Order: sequence, then structure tokens, then C-alpha cells
Amino acid sequence: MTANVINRQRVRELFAALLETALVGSGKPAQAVYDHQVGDFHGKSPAVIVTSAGTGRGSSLTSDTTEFLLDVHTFVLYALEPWKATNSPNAGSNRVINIQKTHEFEVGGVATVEDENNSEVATITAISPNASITVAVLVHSYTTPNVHAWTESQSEDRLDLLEKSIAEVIIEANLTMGMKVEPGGQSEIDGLEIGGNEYRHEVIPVLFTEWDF
Amino acid sequence: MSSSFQRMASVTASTKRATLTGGKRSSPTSHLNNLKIFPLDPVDPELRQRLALDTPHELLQTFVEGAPDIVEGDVLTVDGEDYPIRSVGDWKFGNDTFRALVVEQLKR
Repeated sequence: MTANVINRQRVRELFAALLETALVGSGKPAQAVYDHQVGDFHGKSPAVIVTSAGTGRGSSLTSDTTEFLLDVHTFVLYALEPWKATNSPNAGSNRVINIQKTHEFEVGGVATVEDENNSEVATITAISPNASITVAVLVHSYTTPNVHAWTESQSEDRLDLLEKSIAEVIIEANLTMGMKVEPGGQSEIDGLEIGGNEYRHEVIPVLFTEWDF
Repeated sequence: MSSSFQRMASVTASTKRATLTGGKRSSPTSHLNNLKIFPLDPVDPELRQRLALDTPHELLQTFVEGAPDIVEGDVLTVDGEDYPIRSVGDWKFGNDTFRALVVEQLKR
């Protein structure tokens, strides 16, 4: 008899495919899912990477289960530095905010505008490159506000949303992968710099248990 | 710009930049072209590893004339090879200004 046990690669690629379906696309929380360790994800955010993290093979003499441990890494861009407006826009419609750099903003996107007294999220309707953005409405008036394209709060929210979404994929994987799938322990969060970009990083361990032979 | 700086800035480079859309950022796209920079030189002989990804890389440095729109996280492209820009520093000598770039040469 020739032995033939389960390859961890199959489990990793199956689970990564489920994550990609759940997380990537319009209205979904991630930009990319990789089913293996990558050296560079080209500044994308959020990026999700599924890596092998160990195997516990059962008895080689009797039919037994094998445990596969995968790590799901999520990388979410941390807050971008705000731009200081050079004017003081008043409350109202079609307000122009003068800022030195506009590359982090897009028409149809949002900007968080804040000064010492107020803060709000406004929808961008026009951009004059490296001169100003125009927002649809400002509820408050501001004195040379800070203008954020991506805030600490948004980064934290996205990190949490990814964790929730991955937890839901783990539950559903019990039905679709034909094996026991469960959290492999408590996740851990840290911050790191990659290629000049600062990211929040979470490692979510996932445990797969399957009868092997 | 001094003629000596211009003689040293013998390499043509370009940059790429990624933009944020709806809280997501895709791969960087072309941003600046025809930049004249110094040849890329090692910062030191040390080989480093990226946090979490463990990607081995060498740090290289170069200088570009003036103050072009380059920020950390952009990508410098030289001879078809991409170098993530880790830091951008503004330097001033006399009446000349230029930017010092530290980039990563990924070894993988």
C-alpha cells in the first residue's frame, strides 16, 4: 500500500478561495487576498495573506485526524497624514477647501474635515489637482481645518470589519470544506511599516481538522 | 541647480503612486516621469527583512533635483525595476534644494 495523506496546500488554497469570494470585490472590505506568503503586495490595502502555520499529524498506525493550522494575516493602511487647509471654509454647499496635495482624494470619495471645535465627513465633488477639493456640504464652519483622506478611526474600523468577515467565513467553511474549521486561538494585532507605508496588522489563526486515512 | 549636481544626476527614473478609493488602495500607477537622479547606491552593506513578510531587502539611496512631488509609499522605477520608497528627505545646500530618497531593493 502506498501512503497518501492530505497536503496542507489543498486546505490553504481552498480556504483562501473562500476568503477571496467573501472579501474582495465591489462593496467588500479587502483589496486583495493571497493564498501564500508574498514578499510585496505593492502597497495594496487592505491585503489578506493566508500562510501555512503548522501541522499536527495523528497516529500513523490507526485511522486518525490531522490538524492543519493556517495564519490569516490582514494588513490595513494606517491613517494617512492630514493636509492642513490654507483657507477657512464656512458651512454650506459646494465648499472649496484649499490643500497643498490632493493625490489621496478622489471625486465621489469622502474627506474627514476637522478643527479644534468640529469634525465631519464630507463627500468630494471636485478636485483641482494639488490646489483644492470641493465638498458637497459642510455642516459646520472651520478655521484652517485638517483634511483627512483616511483616518485612524477608519483604519481601526476596517481592521475590525475584516476580522468579523473572516470569522464568518470560518463558520461557513465547516459546510463547504467538508472538515472541521474553527479559530486556532486568539488573534494578535500590531503595527508595522512596509515599503514606506504604515499598516495595522492582525494575525488570525485558523485550525482545520480532517480524517486523514 | 549646480552643474556638478546635474553631472551626477545621470540616471533617468520615474515614480508610481497608489490612490485610495473607498477605503481600498490598488497597485500604484504612473505618476512622475523623466526625473534625473543620482545612481542608486547602498545605504550600508546590511541586508534587512520586512516586518511580518520577512522579505529580504537592501536599502539604497539616491538624490533628485528640486522638490518633485514624491512621498513615502511611492515607487521609484529605474531601468524597469521597481523600488518602494521608504523615506523622502528635503536637503538644502546653498541655494540648491534636492530630495534624498531611501528605497528598498527587494531580494525575492
